[in-house]
Amino acid sequence: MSAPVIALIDDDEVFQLTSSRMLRAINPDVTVKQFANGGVALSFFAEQAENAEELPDIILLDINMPYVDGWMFLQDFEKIRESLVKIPTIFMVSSSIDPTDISKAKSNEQVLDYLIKPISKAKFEVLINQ
Amino acid sequence: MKMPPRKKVKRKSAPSLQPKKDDGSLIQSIEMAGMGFWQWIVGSDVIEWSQQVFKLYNITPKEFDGTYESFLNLIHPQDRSKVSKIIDHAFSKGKNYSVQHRIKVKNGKIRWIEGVGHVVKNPKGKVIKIAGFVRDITAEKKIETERANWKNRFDLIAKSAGVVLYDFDIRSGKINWSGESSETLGYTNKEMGDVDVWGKRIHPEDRVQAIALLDNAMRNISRYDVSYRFKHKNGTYIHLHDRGFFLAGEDGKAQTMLGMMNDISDRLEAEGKFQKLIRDLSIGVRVHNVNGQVMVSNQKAEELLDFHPKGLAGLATENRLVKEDQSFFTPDELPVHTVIKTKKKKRDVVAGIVGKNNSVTWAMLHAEPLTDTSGKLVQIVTTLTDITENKKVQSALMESENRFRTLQEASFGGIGLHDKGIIIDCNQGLCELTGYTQKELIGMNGLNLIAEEYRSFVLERIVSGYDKPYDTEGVKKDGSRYFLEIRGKNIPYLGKQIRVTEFRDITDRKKSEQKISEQNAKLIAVAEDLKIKNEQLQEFTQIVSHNLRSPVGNILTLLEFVEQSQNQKEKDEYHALLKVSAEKIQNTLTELHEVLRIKQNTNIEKQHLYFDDILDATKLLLHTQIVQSGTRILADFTNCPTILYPKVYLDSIFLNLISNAIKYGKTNITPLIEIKTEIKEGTCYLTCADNGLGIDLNKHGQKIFKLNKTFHSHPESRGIGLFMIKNQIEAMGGMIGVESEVNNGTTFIVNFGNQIMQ
Repeated sequence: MSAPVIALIDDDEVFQLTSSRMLRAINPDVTVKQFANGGVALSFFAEQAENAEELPDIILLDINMPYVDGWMFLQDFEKIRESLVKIPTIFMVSSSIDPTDISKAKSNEQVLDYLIKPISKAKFEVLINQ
Repeated sequence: MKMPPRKKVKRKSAPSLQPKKDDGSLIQSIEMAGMGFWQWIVGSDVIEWSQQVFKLYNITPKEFDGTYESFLNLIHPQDRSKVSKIIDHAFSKGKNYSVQHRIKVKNGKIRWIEGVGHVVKNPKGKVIKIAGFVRDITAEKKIETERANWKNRFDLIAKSAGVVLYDFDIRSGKINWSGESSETLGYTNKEMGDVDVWGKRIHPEDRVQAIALLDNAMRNISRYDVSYRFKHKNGTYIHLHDRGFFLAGEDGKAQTMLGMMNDISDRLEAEGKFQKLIRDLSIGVRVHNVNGQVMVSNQKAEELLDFHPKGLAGLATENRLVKEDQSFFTPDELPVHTVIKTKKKKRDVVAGIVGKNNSVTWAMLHAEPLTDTSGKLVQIVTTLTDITENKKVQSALMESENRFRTLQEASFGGIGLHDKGIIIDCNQGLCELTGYTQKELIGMNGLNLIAEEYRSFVLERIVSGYDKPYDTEGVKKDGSRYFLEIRGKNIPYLGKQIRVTEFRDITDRKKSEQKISEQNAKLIAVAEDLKIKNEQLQEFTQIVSHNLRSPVGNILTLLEFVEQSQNQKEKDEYHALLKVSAEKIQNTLTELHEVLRIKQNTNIEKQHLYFDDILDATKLLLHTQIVQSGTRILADFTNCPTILYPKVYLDSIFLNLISNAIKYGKTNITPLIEIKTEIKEGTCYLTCADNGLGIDLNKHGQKIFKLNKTFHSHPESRGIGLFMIKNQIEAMGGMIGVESEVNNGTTFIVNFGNQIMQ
């Protein structure tokens, strides 16, 4: 299996740092792409729609972000999804343990699973190897 | 006209026949009897008349020339040939004659004359003269004519009445028939023959009885009235009704039988049919005479009275009739006797007929008087209708009615039975409920028990037969009102549809309902409050989830990293990040504390504040940002310069709105902030409009006033943001809203609630 491309969409800089270091520790070949909010990520995906190497295999999506939050990202991503040469697997990642957030995420067809922060190294391993 | 040969003599007048001395006395006496004498000597052409003849003909001798022609001229034209024939006959045959004829006398009147002629012959038998008398028979003729007229009329009457008249001479056995014999009996009067012929034509079965009856009447010289069958000429028998009377002769014995008969076959047939009808009727019919005795009764009457028909007539069956209370009827109480006494009909008398085995058959009795044309009572007709079954049904009904009454008296509610709204019965419960007595209620319109404004509503339900309970308001006799539940049902009762209505006082229920609804309102208010509290809790949950858990999670991860790291430089990096995360938690906790304080402290001290002062203080705080961005602030507080408000809150509101406006300004345009106050409908409004980036409210509208990282990245604002000012404004009874379009600036509108300075 070739090294996966992972997109981290989160405004939390500490989470970005710790997560990308953990991912690289698990597999030094992974490409981690960091986006501070949903809007930045969406415009990048739209630009690289036909570039399979730049597009992520996995997206880790935060809910609470300025401008374009996780929910808005999912709405807009659905519109560009068909034009992408590679369809990523989306995990929703949040520190929220609010049941409304969890059920809302799980009922969304684009979201494979909902992960509660903090995320351990072991959990990242399972995620990458899926 | 054949005339005997005569010598015609012309004379001025007829020779007067003078009585001769030898026979004068005879002629005189004839003349004195009013008879005229005349003679006509053969060979002479002159008829000689005595004085009396001239008188009878009412002419003078000068007016009669004595010729035969002149004589014939005097005779009535209709009788002329008859007279002439007879006279010719007398001459030619030598026969005496007698003739009656009419003459027309001068005054135009008709006079009847009887002429008698005597032929005188010589010894050789040759007629030598005719002599005779004439007399006036007008009076006799008149009587005769009248009699004939009467006879004609009588016949006509008899014919038109369809009766046959007869006059039977008992001694000769001859019968003079007249009237309608051929129409009725088929025979002409002649063919009817004598008494023997009549007797033979009577039906053999009826003959002996009829003749015996007539014989009896004949012996008593009395009237008779008999019916028998008589053989018609066509061979069939018809029913004859024959009545008349016997007349006695001088010897005191019956001499003449005068009578009339008519065909009553049709009537008998009709009567037979009618009788059969009466017999077969399902109601008993009896005809009584004026003494109350039964003359006729039909089969049903006999059945009902349990009598053999032959034993029925005249028997005092009434002895066995009982009233509904089982006591016997006295004779005066019986309908037939009532009718005899009052001559008015008596109806609807219920009587029980006690049978042989003491079983009782119940009958409804009616009695009707039959009077003749003069109004005299002739007969009484009574009818009996078997109502035993009805009685059974009725007593069953009464029993169930009694049960029902017991039941409804035991019921706590009021029960009324009404027919088209009028109460026909009710229980004690209804009296207690409404305050009326039972007497007052019965006959009253049930709608009067309903409060006026509900009557049409209730009436609608009565008319439509609505049978489910419904609430309305009742009104008592004293005018007081009460809550009422009504349930009505249409039921058949004694042959008609009536409505049973149950009244239930539901005042208590209504009161508890009211209490319940009051409590319900309270509960709703509490629930509303709880909902708000819950929303706030959810808000806090979110804050905890996103704003506290997130840095805590980071701290845990970073601590792990620090533990695993061998590199001091790396460790230092993690420590710095740990500090950032810890500060985040610190900030969030401060915010939460602030929000809780705002929410709990609605009685925060209010001050008399001037918007100008607050704006000046804010400008001072944001001095660096304003100068760096070149922001221009236009303020107008003239419409509402002051407000009674917590100073901390108003500072916070101004600081946040203005700092946001600067922060989200467009890079290529100098930020312009217009801030003003005004009063609308007694409330102070603040608007703060900028020319900045604007916000896509469709995307961000929901979270704009929520605790969000976006709004607390400025360390100077102590991280409070729109979330905090929203809480402050709402805590003071106000509201905050936003209007914005992307690239077209943002306007915040603050409604301060009723915080205006008086």
